[in-house]
Amino acid sequence: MLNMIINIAKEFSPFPAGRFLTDGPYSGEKFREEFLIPNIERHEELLINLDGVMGFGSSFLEEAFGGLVRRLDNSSVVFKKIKFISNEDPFLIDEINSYMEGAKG
Amino acid sequence: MPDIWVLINDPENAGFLRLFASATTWILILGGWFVVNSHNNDREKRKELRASLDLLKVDILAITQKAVSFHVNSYYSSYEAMQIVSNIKSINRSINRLHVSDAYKLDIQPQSNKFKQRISLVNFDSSSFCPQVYDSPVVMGIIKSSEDYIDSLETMFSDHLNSFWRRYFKYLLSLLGFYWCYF
Repeated sequence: MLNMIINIAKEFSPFPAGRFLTDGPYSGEKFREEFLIPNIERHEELLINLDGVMGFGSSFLEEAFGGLVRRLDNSSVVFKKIKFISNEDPFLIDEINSYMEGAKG
Repeated sequence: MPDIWVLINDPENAGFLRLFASATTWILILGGWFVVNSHNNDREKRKELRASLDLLKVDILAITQKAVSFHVNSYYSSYEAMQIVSNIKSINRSINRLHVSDAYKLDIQPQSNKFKQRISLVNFDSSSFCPQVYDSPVVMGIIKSSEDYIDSLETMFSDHLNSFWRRYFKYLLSLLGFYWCYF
């Protein structure tokens, strides 16, 4: 399949919180392991819709997206394949990009 | 070249001159109305922006207080954590709705992200939570970033007011319109 859209609020949780699995049922680690890693390998482009959730803690975003860059051997694939939609929060995409850049090392 | 005084005194041109004088009066009336109306609109927009920024400042200070209280608490509260991220998102949405150009909003983005990171990147999850003291780097970082955030909003307001193009571009356009109508 070429593209996939992941709507976090609908497909994961409208209340994502926590960094690790031990922090809660909807943590950044869980999102990365169950949604990001399986889909990034199968699709050409991953469009992630960030709207509709109550809010993202920075630790959730860092673990999900920064952690994704750390986990994959070829981190440039992440930057190429992942795109974001955020109409509600204008600063979110920049924040996520900063975590991904920071994780690149 | 005919002498201008000969043209003005020629009775055949009287009709044209009356029309010219009356058109000048109307253009001055409409031009004056346009300038006064623009100033009034600007003043009202400035007041609206000032009121929105004052509300944002109150919200930022409230979140700062909530975040400090969260980090110095002796126990971890997932409810408070969720409330804080929700309030931060609400502030960002309010900034998104401000009637200023995107360039000004981009200017405050680094301070906004730093504020959020200071609150919710470290010591924000149950697995890593450790009660802080008031002079800890976590708490001091939150207070500092909140002050920087408020300062960046004030800078945005001041830059917006002093923007040369925003203030004078419409007058330049009206002058061009006047020139186009008249000649």
